[in-house]
Amino acid sequence: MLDMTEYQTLYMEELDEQLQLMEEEVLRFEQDGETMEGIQRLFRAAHTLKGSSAAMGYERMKRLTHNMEHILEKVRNRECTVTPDMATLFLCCLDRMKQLRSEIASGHTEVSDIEDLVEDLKKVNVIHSALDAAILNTKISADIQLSEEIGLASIRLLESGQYAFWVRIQLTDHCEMRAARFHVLQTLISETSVVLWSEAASLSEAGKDSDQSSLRWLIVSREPQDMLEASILAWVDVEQVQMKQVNVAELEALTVTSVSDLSETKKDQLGMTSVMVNPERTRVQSIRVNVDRLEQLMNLVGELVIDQTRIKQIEKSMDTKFGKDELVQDLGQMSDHFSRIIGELQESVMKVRMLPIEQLFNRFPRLIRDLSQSLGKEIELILEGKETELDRTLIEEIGDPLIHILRNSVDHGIEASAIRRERGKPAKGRILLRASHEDNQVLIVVKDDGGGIDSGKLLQKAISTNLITAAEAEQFSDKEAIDLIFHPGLSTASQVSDISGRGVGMDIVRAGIEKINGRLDIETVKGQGTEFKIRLPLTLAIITGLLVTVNESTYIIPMSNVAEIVRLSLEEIQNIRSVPMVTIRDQVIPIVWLHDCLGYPKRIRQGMRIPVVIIGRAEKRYALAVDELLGNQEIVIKSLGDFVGQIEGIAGATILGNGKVALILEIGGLIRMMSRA
Amino acid sequence: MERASHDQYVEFSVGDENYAILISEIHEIIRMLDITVIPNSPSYLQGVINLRGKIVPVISIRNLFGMEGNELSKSTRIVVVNHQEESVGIIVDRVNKVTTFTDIQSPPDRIGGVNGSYFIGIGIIQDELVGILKLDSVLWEYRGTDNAGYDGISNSLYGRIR
Repeated sequence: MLDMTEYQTLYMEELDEQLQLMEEEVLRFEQDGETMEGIQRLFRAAHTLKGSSAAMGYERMKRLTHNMEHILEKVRNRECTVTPDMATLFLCCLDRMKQLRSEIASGHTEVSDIEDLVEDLKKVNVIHSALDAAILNTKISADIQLSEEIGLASIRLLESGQYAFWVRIQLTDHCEMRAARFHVLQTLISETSVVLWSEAASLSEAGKDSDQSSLRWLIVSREPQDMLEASILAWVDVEQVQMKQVNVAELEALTVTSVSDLSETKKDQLGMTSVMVNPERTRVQSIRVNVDRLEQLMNLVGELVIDQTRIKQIEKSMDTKFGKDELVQDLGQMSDHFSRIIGELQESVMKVRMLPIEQLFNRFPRLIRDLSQSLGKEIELILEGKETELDRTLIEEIGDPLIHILRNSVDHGIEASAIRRERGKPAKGRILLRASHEDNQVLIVVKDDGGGIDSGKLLQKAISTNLITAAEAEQFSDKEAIDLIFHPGLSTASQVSDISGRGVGMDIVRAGIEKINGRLDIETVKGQGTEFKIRLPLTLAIITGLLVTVNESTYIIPMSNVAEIVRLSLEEIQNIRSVPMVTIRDQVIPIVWLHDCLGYPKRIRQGMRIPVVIIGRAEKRYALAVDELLGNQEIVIKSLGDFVGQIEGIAGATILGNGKVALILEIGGLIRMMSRA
Repeated sequence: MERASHDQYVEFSVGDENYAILISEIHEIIRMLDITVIPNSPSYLQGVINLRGKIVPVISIRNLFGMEGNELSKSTRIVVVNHQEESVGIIVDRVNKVTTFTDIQSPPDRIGGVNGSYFIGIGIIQDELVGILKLDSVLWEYRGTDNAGYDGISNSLYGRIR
């Protein structure tokens, strides 16, 4: 028995890739209608999977893909068109294939039954094989262009009393060597008619196989339709002939009229093809790398970054000690060079870890489609900035929060079509999902044009669940009220649905985003929609940190949490209801000594200016008093390990230039500690 | 239970008492390094050190066994052991020698106020008695202590980046 494990991995990778591709295609033609290229890609994917599944011995997978391929071939041959039902059926098939995939992944056997789907697929065949001749020309006329010369010549022939026809010939199932048979047929046709266009020729021009069971021609003939039809039917292996007469106007429409037009359309065509070809090329130029190896590479770079800062420091102290010694100067140059190279190395490795967010975004059209169908809403999802790149771990981490926000938008945000019409909005709701880079951060926006968040409702709910009192509610600003959405246990949907509204949600979403050093902001206008803004760092492993000292220990505050740094004198601190507060740019902010959070004694001398770091999110800011500010620096985040476990307020550690370990503060945890105190 | 053994142990002292750890459980023995204290962490956890670029937690046997004092001297060492695929440092006053025991007896329930389950047994060599530490229990004891009343959803992120 052959060792299949290696092939198994390859097969699974291929399966994932092709399933993703097929799903994209199905959704695309459901939305934009079918295109020949799309069908072709879908067909190719099904065909590939059929082959590899058969090779791996996965019988059900093979059978399912075979039946899908069968229908696609008919579509490709224009024997039937894609209907919405068919798209849904295909999506069902894809789901079943995914299920089979996970069964294969876990137990190497296929468990799920597929016969129901195979039945359905076969039924599609039956319905559509009784086909409509009208699709003969309408579907293909877009693909065909007759040169001016041929066009005019044929029009002249028509004017002299001849006929033009679309002809489609279907060969019998048992016919072998179809290409050869068609060639013979074409020769026979040309005996009595002029062939203006033949599908066989255009297929071979495009380098595609012409192993189809039916082909089409555009011919001009002296003979009328019934005569031609009868003579073609009489030839060997011809199962069916369909003909449709073409008039002068139609021929003109197919003819390229002027030279300038030609170049325009040529350009268009060229543009189209280059777009189509590009993805293939980029795929070839990439290689697969095991993720573990990348991680290891990143770790090593992290070590280098640390060593580099240490060398810098040694160089500095050497410089003060030995001054202008030549060796020290050499060391200085070396260390500068070293830093530059490490900087570039770090950037390159980080880029290798980056993936276009497309990977994640491509999952959403299906999600939105299914959700909106089950809720009976009409929703259009617009994806922008799919090419935006971010760290692969971030892509993994941001998936769940994004799904949750999107679900919320579909369920709570976008109103039912009837209500939308009442409010004078288009019946079809819009959700925009956009990724972009913004000052060294990644910005992901989810924007819907739904009803917005009703702050009044949130307040009522908060009162009814005894979260706040009615008196407190009156003190709430709009922003504060909307912030209640992040409170565990609140949900505005009056009805709990499958999709959302169980009141566990936004708090977890925000925690998930903050976990990866991100930030979530909400902007909402009642009646006009809601916008969620997620800001993420480009990478997780290396961050810029602000070094501060407290009681002679160094701590690091991630720069992403730092809003502002100020120096205050003691007199500027006022107690409001025994809570010390400071006023910074007209905003009153509670001030906390980091010493208190970390359990160190405070040293407060009269008249000294206290360095204060303003941290936190837009509305919930804290001023954090420290002993000293040391400046900011790139740091490599290291875990404290499972043995130490999670310590509130501490996110991890890093190694400083002097070789000492410094702890990284977790601002979310600190804020929680402060709000408890 | 009686068990003579050819296994080698590293014997060390904490205060006046001698303890031993199976040599195969020891990764290395290093001199004292700068320890970074972690605020809001249990008292046994002295902090973390930088062991050639790796962050290694360090615990104190002294604190764990409730002994007085915590003097550092020239002979103070950190015994780095492997524990569930992580390194953990144990601070000891002095490392004495590598040794084998002629006899190992099962530990009493309590040894001088310390829970007997911390020990694999009592090693006997000539007239000397040495408590052989059961690392799993010793380190587990630390882990079992309350991690400063931690309750929030937090930074599991960093757990994934080592």
